[in-house]
Amino acid sequence: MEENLDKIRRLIIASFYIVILLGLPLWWKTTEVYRAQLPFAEIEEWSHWEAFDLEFPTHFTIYVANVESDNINFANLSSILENSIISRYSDAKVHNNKKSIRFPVKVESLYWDNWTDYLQEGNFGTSNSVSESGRYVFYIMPNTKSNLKAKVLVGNQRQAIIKINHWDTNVIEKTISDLIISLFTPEQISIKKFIMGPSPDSKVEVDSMRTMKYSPQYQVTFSLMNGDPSNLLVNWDIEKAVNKYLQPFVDKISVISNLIVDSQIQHYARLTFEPHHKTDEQFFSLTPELLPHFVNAAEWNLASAVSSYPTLNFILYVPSKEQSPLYIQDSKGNIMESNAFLIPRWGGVIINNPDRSNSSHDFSFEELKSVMSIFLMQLRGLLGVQDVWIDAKHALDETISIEFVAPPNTAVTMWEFDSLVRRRIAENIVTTISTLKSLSQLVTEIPNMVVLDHIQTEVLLALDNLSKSCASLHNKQYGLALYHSKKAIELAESAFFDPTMVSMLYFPDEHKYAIYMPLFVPISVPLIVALFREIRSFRERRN
Amino acid sequence: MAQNDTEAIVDSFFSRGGHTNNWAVLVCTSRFWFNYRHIANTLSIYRTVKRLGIPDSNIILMLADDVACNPRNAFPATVFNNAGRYLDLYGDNVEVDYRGYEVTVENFIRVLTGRVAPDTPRSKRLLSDDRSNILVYMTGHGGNEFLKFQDAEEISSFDLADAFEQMWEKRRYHEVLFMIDTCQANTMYSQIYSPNILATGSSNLGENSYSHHMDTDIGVAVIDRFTYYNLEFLEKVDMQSKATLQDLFKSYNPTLIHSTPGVRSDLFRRPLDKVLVTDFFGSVQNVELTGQQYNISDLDVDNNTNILSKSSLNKEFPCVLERSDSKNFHLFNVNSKQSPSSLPQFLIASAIFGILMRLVSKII
Repeated sequence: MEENLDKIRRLIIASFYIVILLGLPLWWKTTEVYRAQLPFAEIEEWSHWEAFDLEFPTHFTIYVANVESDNINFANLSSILENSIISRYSDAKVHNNKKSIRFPVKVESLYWDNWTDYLQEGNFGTSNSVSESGRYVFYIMPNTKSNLKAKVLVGNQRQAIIKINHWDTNVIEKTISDLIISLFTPEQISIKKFIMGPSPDSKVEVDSMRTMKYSPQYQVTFSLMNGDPSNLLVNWDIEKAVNKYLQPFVDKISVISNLIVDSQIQHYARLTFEPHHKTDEQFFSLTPELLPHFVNAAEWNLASAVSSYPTLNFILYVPSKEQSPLYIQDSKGNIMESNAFLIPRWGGVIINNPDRSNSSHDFSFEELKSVMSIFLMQLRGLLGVQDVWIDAKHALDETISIEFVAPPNTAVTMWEFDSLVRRRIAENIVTTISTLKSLSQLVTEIPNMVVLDHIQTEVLLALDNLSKSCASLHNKQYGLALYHSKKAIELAESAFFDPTMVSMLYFPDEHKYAIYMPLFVPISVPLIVALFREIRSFRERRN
Repeated sequence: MAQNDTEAIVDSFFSRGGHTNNWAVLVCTSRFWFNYRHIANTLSIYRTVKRLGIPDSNIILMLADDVACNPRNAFPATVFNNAGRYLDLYGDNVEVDYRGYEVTVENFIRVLTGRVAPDTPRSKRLLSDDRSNILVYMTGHGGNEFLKFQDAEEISSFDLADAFEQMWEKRRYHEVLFMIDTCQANTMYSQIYSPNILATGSSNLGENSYSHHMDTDIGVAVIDRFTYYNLEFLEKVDMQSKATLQDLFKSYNPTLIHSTPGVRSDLFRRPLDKVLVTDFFGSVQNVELTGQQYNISDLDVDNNTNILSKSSLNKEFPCVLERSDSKNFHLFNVNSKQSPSSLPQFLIASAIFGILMRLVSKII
């Protein structure tokens, strides 16, 4: 009987130990954090710019008028041009660590036989404009009437006509390379800025402050703010105006980012300050110092909860009777004709002083044309469309006259559009790489953070899209490159900002011990005591 | 447009500060009636930043919000920060973004780092970018390198420093002003290591932060000293003011505050006498005059034939909208991932347990 009881006691103790011994690995396994393997090595390669070659190739086709002339040799014009452009590009090249970016150029020159037809017809380009991003066509022809060295007409598609006074190989070569440099250098500087990080160059800084960060979608809100509806009721035909004036631009730009447009009218939109008024003047004025306080953020309800995408606000402000007419003065005290200003990364404001002879005013579709044309200009700036012509005019010397064909109703020429596409591609690629780098750092630093499978999938897909984007760039497929760079940045951001990636959700090991100790230490005391007792009695029996 | 000969931009005058937008994250980590003063602290700062031009959409207010309508409040639906009761902080349009039990360490970290659930409304998100100046104000009960959140949990100075670093990694700010009013507050910013962060706190290690005065009718203290003297300075500041943070920090008087306020500026790169108070507490937007306009000609509007027709555009740029699909894919994946990993393990465990039980009973 005694013997039997001992046996049972031992079995009970043994069973407890068996449970603990079997349970420990089970516990270990079940409390382990799940970490999908991330491609750290590959991300590291990308962040050191080893895995890829960033290049923005351009191809120029030059049609040279087939003039019967002795002093011209076009046999090696293209190679001469290529060399001179590349050497001038690399002058501006910045090398920082391993980061390098190239702008390869390919030039092809052809004879243009029926150029005289062009002179007769007076229009050009429509028939043979094989428009493709990264491919540009120049038409060169002699010109005898002008006293300028050359006359350039840059089209709104990807072509330009150059009329050259002095029909000579060197002059042609010089003019074309000057033109290409002046058209492409500003864009290259800003692309380099993305890659090399912020530079002290103030011009680029200002541009980057104005331009919104890339987002796949923006929300554009047009607001008609009425200072005092008791005197003047206002309304506007915004829907028609947006459809007519803005839609072509929206369609065009939607390849890069989508724009959602909405509108509102707000009454009793008061200013927070009194505009300047001189007794001898019949108007009220706003000086540049007052403009930063113009938007009454506390009372004007401009926030929209429709989406979490960045918002662009465009305000048409109608001042109250006591404050009208209201004009904006520039820093020299001159009244601005446009009566408008832009707030970087926020939107634009136009002040309008409508006719107050009636008690209400409807902004007609025609009236809104001038308003929309200013808004369009501001929208261009906010979305990062760089005005090609400004820089080009500064860069070229005075003997070359350059003119630009105004864009069609889309408000953006193909030159500008291509430039924007290239800059957005560069921005997206650089941002994706740095996001992935931050993500891999974060995961390495915090060993208790769960990395779920979908994060791994997103990272892998982002890397895949990055390499596809670079490959497409190499093949001059800018459309595809943009598409893949957009995918890459979206995937990388969604992995980085994933709600499961918050380190606070996961406990460090010390916390785990702190939680388990109070439970397991009391349980273990009787077990250990029982074990010792058994060992002691076992020894006693042997002796 | 192109032929317009006027120089592109007639006037452009960006301030040298380099920010284009302002955000404020104001956190009160206390709840219950006797912590009235912490709520009043936070609402006072809220009022100030709103007065100086930060719109509600750019303010994330985290507040237990349980005193205005507390049964013990002798003046229902009001919060005062002064025994004179001159100013009802709760009066007009207070937009609390995280209320009551939503004020947690997790939510605070999520707001800062931007890792919020996809269905989070816009008002609960900090949508800042690389040109944002952010004011982070915190008040509550704290200690050496921690701050309690509603007596339930705490945030340590390391968590805070890591959160700021994650923000910097993703360029979610241009500059940050971190301000904290709690006991031993200066320890909270000691671990921060990310650039462009300016920090100030109410008291050194080992010092308490004290309340300023109490209202005998309300029955509790109504404001803390550090915040009180900050407000005294800030009330004199308006949107056009040229007061700098240097002036603000110089106005701190340890004998009045009853503790030693600290300023940490080693991570900040601008000299403090060049930093306007409104760079953080207000929203003074830079502007640029628009000199040109794009000429829409009537012909263009009516004539929609474009050389590059729409179809060819789409061919060149395949734009596919797959965004919404990928989101669903997430949710699905999260759910599917967690259950299968734990279910088999649970089954194995119960099976083993069952076998053991049978073995033991057989032996017995």
